[in-house]
Amino acid sequence: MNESDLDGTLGATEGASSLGRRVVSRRDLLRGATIAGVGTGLALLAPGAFAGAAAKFPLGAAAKSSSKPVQITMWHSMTSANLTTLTNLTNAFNSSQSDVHVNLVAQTSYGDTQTAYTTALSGGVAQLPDVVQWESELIQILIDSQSVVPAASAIAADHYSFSDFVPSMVNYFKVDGTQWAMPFNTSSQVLYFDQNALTKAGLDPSNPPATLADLRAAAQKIVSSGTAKYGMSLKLDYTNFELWMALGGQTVLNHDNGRSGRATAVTFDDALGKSIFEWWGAMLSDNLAQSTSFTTFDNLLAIGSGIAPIAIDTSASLGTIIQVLSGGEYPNVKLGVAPLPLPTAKRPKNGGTFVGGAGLYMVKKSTPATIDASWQFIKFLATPQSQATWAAGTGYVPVRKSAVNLAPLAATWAAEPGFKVAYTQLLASPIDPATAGPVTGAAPQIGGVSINNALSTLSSGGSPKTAIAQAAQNCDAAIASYNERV
Amino acid sequence: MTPRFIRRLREATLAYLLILPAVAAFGLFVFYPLVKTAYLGFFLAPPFPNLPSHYVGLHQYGQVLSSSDFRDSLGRSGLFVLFTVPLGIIIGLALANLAQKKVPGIRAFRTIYSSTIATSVAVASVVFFTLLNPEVGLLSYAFGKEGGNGILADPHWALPAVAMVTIWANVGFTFILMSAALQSLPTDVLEASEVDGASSFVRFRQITLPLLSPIIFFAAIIGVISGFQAFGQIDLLTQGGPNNTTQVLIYDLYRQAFQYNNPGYAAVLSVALFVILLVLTFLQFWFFQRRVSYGN
Repeated sequence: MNESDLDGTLGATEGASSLGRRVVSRRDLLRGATIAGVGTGLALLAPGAFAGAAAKFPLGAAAKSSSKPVQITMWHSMTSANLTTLTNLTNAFNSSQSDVHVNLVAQTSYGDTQTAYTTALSGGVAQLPDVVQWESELIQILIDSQSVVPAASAIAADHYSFSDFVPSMVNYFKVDGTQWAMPFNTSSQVLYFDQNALTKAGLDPSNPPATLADLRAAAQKIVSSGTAKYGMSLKLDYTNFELWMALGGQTVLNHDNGRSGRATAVTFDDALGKSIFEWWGAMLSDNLAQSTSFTTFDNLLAIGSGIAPIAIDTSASLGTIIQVLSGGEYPNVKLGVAPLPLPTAKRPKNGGTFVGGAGLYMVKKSTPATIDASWQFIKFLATPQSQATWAAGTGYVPVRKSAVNLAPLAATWAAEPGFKVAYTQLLASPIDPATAGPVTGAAPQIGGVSINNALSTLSSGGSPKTAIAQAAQNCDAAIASYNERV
Repeated sequence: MTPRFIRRLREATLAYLLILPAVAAFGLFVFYPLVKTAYLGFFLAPPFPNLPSHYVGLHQYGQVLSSSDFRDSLGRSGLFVLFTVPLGIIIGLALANLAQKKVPGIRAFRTIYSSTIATSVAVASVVFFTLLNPEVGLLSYAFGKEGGNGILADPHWALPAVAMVTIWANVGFTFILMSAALQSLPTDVLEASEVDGASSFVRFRQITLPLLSPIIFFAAIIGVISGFQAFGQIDLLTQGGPNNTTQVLIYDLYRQAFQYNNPGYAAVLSVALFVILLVLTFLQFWFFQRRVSYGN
């Protein structure tokens, strides 16, 4: 069966969920433009075969396929322990049934996946994977590629329930009312600290800083008591800024963080955003914090070396940290993990954190059988048991609530309660545009470049107000440039 | 048709046939991509190749080339070349002169001086990245920069630091070039000047240097071109940061093409880079041709 067969099969059946309709109309407009602009070969792929949720999902097509097992390919970006766990889960899936066989292809990093995927798109469907693990913050880019089948269509056809899922994790992958991906490997930013250093500075390590004001006070004590050169490390990471906006109940982008319509401008240049920039700038200019690089883990190394005993980083690093500490190189460090401190004294009702990590997407490829096979595999990876195995083997947080009580995760968490911090934090996150997290196709320019650039000027004494205004201006230009091209 | 004409025709046919493979290879791998890139600059390209492009004519060229982003990154590229090329040639030349001395163990020094030619820019970058790391780097401690903002995160020092790594990585190549040139110098001229009582400095200034000028010219051209194209060390050491202070033209191009998926913008930058390098190379030819001695 080729693309046009699929187009016919799926196009003939009109059974829509109300979620997908708005998307379809925009896509149909694009389809006209695409056919006019490019040859029909590409047009078949582009707005393609699977016109949003309007077409019925080919549920059960893999089982009915004439040539079984249906072979599918998944591109992922997992390495070391994460790769081993993913391989084990995949092998378990392959041997558990005879309808589908999954082949894993490693793309090393999310960036490499994006590059390879973009290249494959120009080569036609044959070069694309069936399932792709795609970095969470790049979601809008993949939606705009018009090359994935929204998870919503499979969910509707399969009467799949999200009741056991952590709501904020599911909600992150919902844009414009459509569930685009299934959450898979999720993490969050947490506070890491050396309990011994806090005790030495006269602080209570069982009551770690809960707000940015607390964090400043703690840093002052650490420095003034001579415990360390700096109170903490501030990694040049826009994620922290975006999460603080979310924790304060504020969006980063307009149109509900890009969730109710394509974002056209940033909204972070407000009172909360300015206060975060001012806090950040004052921490650096008062020598209470050291600025560390975005691409390294110098902030975590500084806990070990004793230069700065507090740092903020992703919960996904915890496994590695524990491994390093157990090596005995830093015998005086006793690790503590706490939730990301709040930017305000109290958390507003709509404040919370959103996930980092990646989601799993079904690629619009040739046959209904492979699309259905992809869904079967994605569903398998999201079962409570798979998630318990996955989280225990990697340090990611499980997306299922019931996974927490299953082996081997329950034992892992009992032994190392630090792993639970990010999960609890994400579980407490309410459903709101602010906590959904920002989505825009210009995400790479906004985070890693514009906001990080602005934050880096603070370490050489730049004015926080100027920095945030400059960041907002650069981000708006980047968003406009991206929107102009799709 | 005279036999002579037929013979000439045969010769010409043979000649064209012989250059055909080269023309085909250049056409396919150089000229076609070049024309295609220039053409791509006329389009507002979508972030994914399966979406439609919009023809905008010269608009994108005008917009990109007149932007402050372009001016800034071009300025940084120029600065990077200024940091790396003259100093690189001076150090290479100095080491080559030292290595000409006939003292015991000079071979060991020659090996050491030329050793960086066996080091890829990636390896050099990773080594210096570690040395300059503010938490664990030896050089950071040597410069009193341990903890806090590292050298590579300092907006004033990041570009000089990347330039220093580049000079270090390239010194082996320059050293070998200069050594080879020094060894092929005509000894009679130098001996004659020595007999005439010229000091070693005067001999170097008046005889060695002019005789070396073709190779210095060559090193300068190669250095400028590779300086404008330096990518690996920037990607590995600073990723264009802090606050874009190391975002040279080629890095901006990379970002636009592969991080922001904006091939149209990137195409404009690569055409600009091509024209700049072409003009610079012609300028250098024009300048040096009047000063370079080819030994006649």
